[in-house]
Amino acid sequence: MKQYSLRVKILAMLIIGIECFVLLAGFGYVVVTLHQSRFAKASVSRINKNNVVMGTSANLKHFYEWGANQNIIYNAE
Amino acid sequence: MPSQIIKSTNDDGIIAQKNYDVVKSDDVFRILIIGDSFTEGMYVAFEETYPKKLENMLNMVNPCRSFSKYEVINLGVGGYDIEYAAARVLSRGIKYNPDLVIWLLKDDDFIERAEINFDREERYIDVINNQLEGDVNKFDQYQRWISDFKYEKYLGGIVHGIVVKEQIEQESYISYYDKQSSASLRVVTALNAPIILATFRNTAPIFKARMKVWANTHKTITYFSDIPELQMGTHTFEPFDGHPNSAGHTVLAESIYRSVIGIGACSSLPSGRLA
Repeated sequence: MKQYSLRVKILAMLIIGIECFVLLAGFGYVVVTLHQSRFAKASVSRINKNNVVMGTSANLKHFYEWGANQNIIYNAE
Repeated sequence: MPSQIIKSTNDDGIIAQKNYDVVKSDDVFRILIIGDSFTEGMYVAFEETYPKKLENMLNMVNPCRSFSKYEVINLGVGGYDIEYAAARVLSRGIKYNPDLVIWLLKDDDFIERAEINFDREERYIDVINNQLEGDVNKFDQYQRWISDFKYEKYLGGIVHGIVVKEQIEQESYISYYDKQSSASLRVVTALNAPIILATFRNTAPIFKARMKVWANTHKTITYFSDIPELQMGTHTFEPFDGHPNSAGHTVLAESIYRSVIGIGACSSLPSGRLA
């Protein structure tokens, strides 16, 4: 059986490690992409964009604040 | 839980026991806290809220040598989301010229966008009322409506508080509202004061990621995600309400105090404001 030098063995292990990493990364990318696309389809169709108001404060239809010198009562019941 | 808690607002509609001077003296370090019902301190007395406890801690320790007094102005209002909290800054906060802004955000602030949900609530309430025609005996029909709502992921789910985590964490849903959040951030960062974005350790990763991005893209924002999870019943009211009780507010106050000290909010200040 042929004996390889330590240097060659380390180099071989490095190459194998890089190959494994690339394969795992590729597989992970595919899984994540599939996962996200499934969710994307499920969510966007449910949003009625006509109800969305862009911007801040200028056109807030339901904005509310406490009045001056107002009593705020929390009931536990 | 006490049966009834009464708090009052001051002349400016802020839950407080006094009015705040718009022009503050140089020895006062002023903190503005914005947020939702947690910040407002729903169900607890004024002295038990975390903003008030934080103020007491700061005044007791006096960590900033440049200042001798600390004021924490609580702008929290129950039901506010990101956009409404920013609007509150516009309507009440700017004039107080704070030295530091603390913004407590949690999952529902990202999910339950008030402008949209209030519309939906009104619509569904109308629909239910029309269907029932005022007849409370049509219970089966009502149940069917409720059931239908559950399948409307963002409509009925939110209206009835049935928000499934797998649904709310969808990237596409959250990114849809990024534009609105950006507008809100512009308002708050316009204060030209340092901002601490504070959240819980168990906040959903997707929302934490958003806050990290905001902190990375705005030099005045510091992201703080080390508030311990509130234990149901120990730190919150029993049995079903998730709002913090007095012990929960202490956890919040202590955590946020650490964040204030951690960023050196005032130690580098020669004359009252951060650069």
